[in-house]
Amino acid sequence: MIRKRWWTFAAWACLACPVCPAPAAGTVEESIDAVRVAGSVDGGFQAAAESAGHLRRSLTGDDLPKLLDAMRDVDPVAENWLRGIITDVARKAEGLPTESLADYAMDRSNNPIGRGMAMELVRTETPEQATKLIDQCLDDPSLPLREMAVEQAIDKARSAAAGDKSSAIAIYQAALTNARQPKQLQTIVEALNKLGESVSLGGAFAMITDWQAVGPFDNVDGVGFAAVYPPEQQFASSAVVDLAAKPEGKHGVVSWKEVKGSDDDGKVDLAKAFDKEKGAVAYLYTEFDSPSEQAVQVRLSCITANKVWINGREVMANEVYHSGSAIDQYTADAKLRAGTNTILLKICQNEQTESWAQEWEFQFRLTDPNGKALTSE
Amino acid sequence: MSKNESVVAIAKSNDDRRFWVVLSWCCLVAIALAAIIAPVATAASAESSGWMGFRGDGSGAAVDGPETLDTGEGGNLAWKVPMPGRSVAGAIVVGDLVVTTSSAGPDGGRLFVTGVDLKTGEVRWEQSFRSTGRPFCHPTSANAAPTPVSDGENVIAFFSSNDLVCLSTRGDLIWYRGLGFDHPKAGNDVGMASSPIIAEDAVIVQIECKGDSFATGIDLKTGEDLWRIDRPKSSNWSSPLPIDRADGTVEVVMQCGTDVVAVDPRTGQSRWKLDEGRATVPSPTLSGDYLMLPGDDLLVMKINDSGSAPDEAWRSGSFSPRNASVVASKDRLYALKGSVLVAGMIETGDRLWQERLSGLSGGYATPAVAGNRIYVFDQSGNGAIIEDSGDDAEIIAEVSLEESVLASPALADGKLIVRGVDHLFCFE
Repeated sequence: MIRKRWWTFAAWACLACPVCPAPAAGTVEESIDAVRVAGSVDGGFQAAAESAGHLRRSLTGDDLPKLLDAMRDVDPVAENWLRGIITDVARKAEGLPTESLADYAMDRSNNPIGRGMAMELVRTETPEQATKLIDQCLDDPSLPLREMAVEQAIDKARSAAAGDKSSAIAIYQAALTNARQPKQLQTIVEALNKLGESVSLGGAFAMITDWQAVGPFDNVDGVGFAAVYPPEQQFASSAVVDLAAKPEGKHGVVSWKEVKGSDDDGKVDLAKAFDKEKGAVAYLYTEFDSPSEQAVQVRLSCITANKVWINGREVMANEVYHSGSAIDQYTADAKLRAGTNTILLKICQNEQTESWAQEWEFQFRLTDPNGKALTSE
Repeated sequence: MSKNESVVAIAKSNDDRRFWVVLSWCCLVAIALAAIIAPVATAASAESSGWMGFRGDGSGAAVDGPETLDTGEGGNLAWKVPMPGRSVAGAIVVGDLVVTTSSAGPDGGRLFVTGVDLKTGEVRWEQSFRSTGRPFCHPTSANAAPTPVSDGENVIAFFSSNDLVCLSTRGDLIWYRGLGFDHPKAGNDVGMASSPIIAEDAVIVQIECKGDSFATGIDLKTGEDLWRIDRPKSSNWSSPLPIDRADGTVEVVMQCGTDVVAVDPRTGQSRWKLDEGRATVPSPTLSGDYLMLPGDDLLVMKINDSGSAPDEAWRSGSFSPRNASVVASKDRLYALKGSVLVAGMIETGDRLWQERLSGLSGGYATPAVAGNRIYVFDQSGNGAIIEDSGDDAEIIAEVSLEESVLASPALADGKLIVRGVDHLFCFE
């Protein structure tokens, strides 16, 4: 009895003692698994927090590839958990295995996010080596590595532009072909234009500029976002619209008409098309030919409320007015079928009177899942 | 047999001697540990005199600050450190550690939390993440916009993309939350800026926008959700503020364009509500028993002992700030209206003086106060110290940091820490 109490007390004292590391929370593999599902199970954050402590205490620099491998197919939140733990382990390590990390980063069979993280570690330890390796990643399937390579290419082209203009243009052109990140694309297009090259933003992004539009429909007091007007009703049920139809609009009968996006940036100006109408809804229709069935990303820039349907299926709805805008501001996954695909947009304008709240416009494009612009074929 | 008697009886056996040896050993270990831990706990207590959140303790005031701002040779710029990205978020000071956030990359999606030694400016640790929510913001702003907060042991960093991270003061990851990933429509593509707070071991963030608009409490220890309440679907950049009540409870005050509410930090349950819209850029301020709510006028409320809504003390249009929050020290409050600084009495609302800061243009940085010195920075990076001499004011120092400053400066250990867009500065 006493012996039992003795050991109970000793065990309790040991557990409560903060000097020794806490007992292992299962195996390293179990801890990694707990971190990988941090946000997707009940109590997952607490379990992940305990596992993060376990991994930090248990792993050394040589174990980093295990954590890099764990970044495969996890959501962005779990990615950041792993990123934080990797940084903790790397900080506590006495010298990082930069050669094996570099090998990991350059091996295209490894997971793309882990490879990017490995290169970040190499760059911290041996920046010159990293620069040389990153130069080889301009067409890399790992988007983080490709982004680093494009960043380096832009820097190189900027340096070259002062002395050797043609060399700068060549570097920019190569970067333009491979860039996927919208801000980087924008930077390259602007730089090429400054060097006298004729490259349009709309062309580089493959913005879709040919549309049929109908409106305005009523959106006074914001009623139009939820309202289902005839073009939407027809498209949601049959994936087509009748371009000859003349539905009842806000001020009477309305007809479909052609509207075209800017040659420069692909922006479609609805304020111009609909005489600066406020409290209004417009529908836009186009078709997109795909050579095969494929997964795509729908990418929309729009400073007002909007909805998007592809082949009759709603893929996006955002009820936000005049709160900033950027290229590819809204993205959603969708599927195209082989042949002709139909696209319907609903773009709303509210009744704000401030000078900064008068824009009623959008830019729209389709990309592959990695951001490569697609054009109708 | 009582518990004590049973312990005595047990101690009479042979095993008992072993028991008491272990007990004594454990006590000795406990004493030794206490000796180790005590200074840490003391340091943590001392850290409460640091600057552990947006406007330090919520008033924007500290005991002491530098006499001048001189970046020249022989001046009082102790150090200047380049940061890994842009920031419009204030730095905080936890003991001898400065913590600051930055964002970088083409779309500001790379997030950094950096721990810097207060004395030397040396970077002690750095963590980096990728935003999981909307990273977009106005070019003058940054994804790193909310000021971090600490309880002395943990550091909470928050970003416009609604990424929320808890680190130890050694830089270790404690937990990570992607609130923008959980709620993809939460965000404002002009940029969010409301700073988090810690109250009763809960992290509270106010995410108000035209999309998914809410406030939430998250357990500081585990990162798990405690509560979530819907908020008006309207843009709001003001920060929540914890206030202590006489009965020892804490309330979190949140103001927006339609009302002011106070909620329990552990449950989110409403304690009181004021049906009056207030400002959506500057934040509420607390000094002593006075709660200051900026709006078209400044509404000053006195916190009572009853636990009900504070009582209106006075209101005046003279002290309604433009973008910066009101700050207060002792019996004074200071409101920055563009480039005009106005001083008044907290208790009565009597205006004492107003000073046009001729070298400064407008901006967003909330001033900081130490004694009778007010530290003000504009958006172009021009700074000044204004000395309050009672019924008058005088500019006693001016500086240009040659980079934009939108963040509120921090005061700790007699030093002024200024986060410029690209650098961290320390004046001593």
